[in-house]
Amino acid sequence: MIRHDALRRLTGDLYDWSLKKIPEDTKARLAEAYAEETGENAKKVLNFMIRSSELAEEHDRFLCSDAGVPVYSVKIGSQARFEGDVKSAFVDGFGDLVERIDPPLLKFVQNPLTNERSYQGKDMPIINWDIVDGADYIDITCSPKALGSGRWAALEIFVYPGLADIEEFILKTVIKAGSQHCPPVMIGVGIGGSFDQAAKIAKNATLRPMGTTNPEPILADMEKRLLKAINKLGFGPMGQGGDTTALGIHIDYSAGHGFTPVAVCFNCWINRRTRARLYNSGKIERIE
Amino acid sequence: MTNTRSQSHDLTLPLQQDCLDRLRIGDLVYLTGDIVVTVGLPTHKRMKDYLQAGVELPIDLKDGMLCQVGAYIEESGSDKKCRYINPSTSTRFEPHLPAIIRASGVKAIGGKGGVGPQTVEAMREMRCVYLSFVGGASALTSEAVEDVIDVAWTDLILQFRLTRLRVKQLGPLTVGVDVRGNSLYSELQAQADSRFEALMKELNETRAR
Repeated sequence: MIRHDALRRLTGDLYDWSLKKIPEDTKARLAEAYAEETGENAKKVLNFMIRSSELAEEHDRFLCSDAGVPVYSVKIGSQARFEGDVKSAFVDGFGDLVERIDPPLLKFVQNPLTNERSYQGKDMPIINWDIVDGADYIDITCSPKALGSGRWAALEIFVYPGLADIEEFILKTVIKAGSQHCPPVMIGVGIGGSFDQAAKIAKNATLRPMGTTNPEPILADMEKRLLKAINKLGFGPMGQGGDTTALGIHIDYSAGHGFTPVAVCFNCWINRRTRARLYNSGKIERIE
Repeated sequence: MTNTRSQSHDLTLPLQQDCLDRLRIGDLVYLTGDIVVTVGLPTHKRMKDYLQAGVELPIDLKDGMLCQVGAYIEESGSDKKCRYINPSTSTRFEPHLPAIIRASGVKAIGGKGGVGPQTVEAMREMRCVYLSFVGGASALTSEAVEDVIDVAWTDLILQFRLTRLRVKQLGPLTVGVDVRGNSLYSELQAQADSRFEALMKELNETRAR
């Protein structure tokens, strides 16, 4: 039985951890990018990013002052058993964290109708739910989202597009974002499904470990060629010129109707992401 | 095109015009002195309204630097301590920046991601510069903050207030827009636009199927 207080604590912890430590794969990619970068200023900027993230981790400080809003991707095992309410554990876990986190959070939760800011709000935290058949755990990924990179996401609905049309839209979206989403970015692309499904695929694609390619050969090819093309645009780290505009691009798809939505989203270079599983047995397994 | 041999400059506040005139896009800057920070859209609007009505701002911006930077200020009694700072996206404030630049005597705008053509034009007219922070590097950027000098407009939430911070060797900040109206951002955007067709051609030619 998954205890309510354990789940409540874990949801808060995942958010806390995500604000103070860069995922290991991202850290490795940044080091690789630093080694390969040829721009003089770009190298300095990458070095500043790497040193700052080391300092944040060492002293338990925030990577970015903008904690954004907590966003969770949750997979519930069909064999998982819960004590008490599940959704309230997330809401209360966030509430507890606001009280205990050090350094404290600034207010980022905004009511879009009144523009008032606080720590609470309708549908906050944002949670995407899914089911894993047969599993006896709840698998939680926390990937908080702020405006810096969040603002540049785009979605367009095409009718019977070819691969060239899709790639053109992705490249144009990257050019439009330019220097503003704190590059080098992690790019997620969702193709197909429906309006909402495409956006969900794009978001989930950003959560895939870096260095992995999509098992679908068409998409693996697209990922490889697009990353190369994007890094030839020349925006560079923090948009100060250079070879490293993106750390990676992950593309995924769903079958759909003849109209094909294409969604593109971005994570800034700190690529906030933590993940853990909480089992019926009470065991917590930290995955990222 | 962009400055290939970027220089590094140490600047002190209040800013001297001749020092600013020497800056070129792509140069790096380290700043020492007092800067004014806020990430409030309502704050920027209020600043613009005050300036346009001829009302003095509670914190003077003349020869100073206004940063789109969020700060967490902790207060115990009369003691104020800055726990962390970090830049925000400057283009959010685009509707208010040109008027603020023209009316306040501010000499540098700081933030991240750059500013658009109307703000660049105001900067050129007023011989003001844009300095870009490294976003998401709060741990290191915050190290430069020495003291909290003043906090105004406390009716607003923390990061929206107008806060004067004393900094030492804040940087590296990149000169994104210089006093002549050259913009690193419009140059890189134009460069990306000019590469688009060749990159699309390459994508089409290398596609496996």
